[in-house]
Amino acid sequence: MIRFALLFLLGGFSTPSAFSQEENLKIAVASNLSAPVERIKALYEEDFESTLTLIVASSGKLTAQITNGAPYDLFMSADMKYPEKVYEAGLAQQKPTIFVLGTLHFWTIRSEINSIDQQLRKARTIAIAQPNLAPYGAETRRWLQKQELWEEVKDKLVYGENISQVNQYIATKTVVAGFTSNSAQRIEAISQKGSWHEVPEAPPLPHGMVLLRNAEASQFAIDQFLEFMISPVAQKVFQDFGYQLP
Amino acid sequence: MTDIEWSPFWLSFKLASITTVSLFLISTPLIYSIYFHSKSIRTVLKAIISLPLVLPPTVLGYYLLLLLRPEGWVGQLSQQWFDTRLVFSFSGLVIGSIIFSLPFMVNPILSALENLPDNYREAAYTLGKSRWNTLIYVLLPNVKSSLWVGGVMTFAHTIGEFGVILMIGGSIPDETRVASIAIYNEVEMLHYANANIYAAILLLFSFIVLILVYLYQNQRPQGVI
Repeated sequence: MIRFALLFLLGGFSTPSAFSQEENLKIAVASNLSAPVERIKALYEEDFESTLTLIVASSGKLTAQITNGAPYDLFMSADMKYPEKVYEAGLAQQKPTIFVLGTLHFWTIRSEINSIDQQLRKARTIAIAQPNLAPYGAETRRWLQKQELWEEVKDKLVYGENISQVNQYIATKTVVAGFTSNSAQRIEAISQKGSWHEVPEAPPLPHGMVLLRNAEASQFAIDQFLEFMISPVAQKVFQDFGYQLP
Repeated sequence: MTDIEWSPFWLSFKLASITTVSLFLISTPLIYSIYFHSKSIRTVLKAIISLPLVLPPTVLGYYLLLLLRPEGWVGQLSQQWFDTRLVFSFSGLVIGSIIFSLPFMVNPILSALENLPDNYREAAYTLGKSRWNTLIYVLLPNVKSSLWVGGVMTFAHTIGEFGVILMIGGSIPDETRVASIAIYNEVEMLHYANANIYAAILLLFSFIVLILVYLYQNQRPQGVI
């Protein structure tokens, strides 16, 4: 058995290099951006030699990973706070730039509603993203506090680790209402269910992107991708998912 | 839905193989030092070995993160000596898995050794064998079935590892996105078709492993798990 295992061991060490011939960019992506960036990845890889690897989590979690030395090239956050934190910690090559703006959306299982307030009062469980890790969660809390609804709905909230998990609760209908991002309603698995409403008086969230100091990809590959990000092709994808351009 | 990626399975398989082989090598001297110690020290050592069984994976993951990160002392040493980053890397996962699966390898072997009649050991001593040689040539061959079970359980347990890897892995494809993490990821991305396939494969795998272990056990008089 040991002999077998050793064989695997040897095999294991020799294979990864076979994959890494071409350039690969590791991009840390905030959950709400996963669907558009996945599409951009597909378009990008059709036209260019290099490949993209997406690591999707909440902006807060990705920031924690980056501070702990995660080997990512780029960081696309759902806000400006986290990339600025990364920059201030000396882990970025330059100041973060705004690349899209997202908006908070409200989803409910009912097809017709009078107002969000009323729905919130009726709902038994409401999903939001964790305010301490996910910018859309923080924005939701801010909004609920401003509308003086926080105290009232606090006990009915269930927290997703990030926006994807909130979307997952929506897709499986485990909650009757939830606050998510504009991109969610364009995702096939959940677009058909319930109804969607832009949250009134919630300001657009500027999403920041930053080039990381730990970047392992070549400057050429990074520039090529950044150029693609501001090309009409990529910008259209973001618009299709309901993002505003700065 | 996106295409099915098979690399998480390959990665899990690689991690489990390396962990099992490493633990095989680490366990023998460890078992030696526990088995030949006095009873009171043995109790403490056994408790330490079994810690990963009861410790929440997040606790283990947290301590590992503190140790392995670039500012942690293990992380710093590996950076200076081998120029490799441990956290969010495959090597880091191997370290984590070895600690996490340690009791699965050591415990079955140790309890089988303790059930062996003392006269095996004593007979070896009278024939002039040292403790080490007694362990390797007399005692371990007598608990061969437990060695097998220890190995298989370590392998299976590493395949199913999740919490620790979630904390120190970072879900990087081809590097730290093992099968269990890939399922979590696919579910979060609402790729249920992929998640179904991944989950079904792991379910089948776990079931087959247990069937094999129990079949093997049925042929032996003495229970091993």
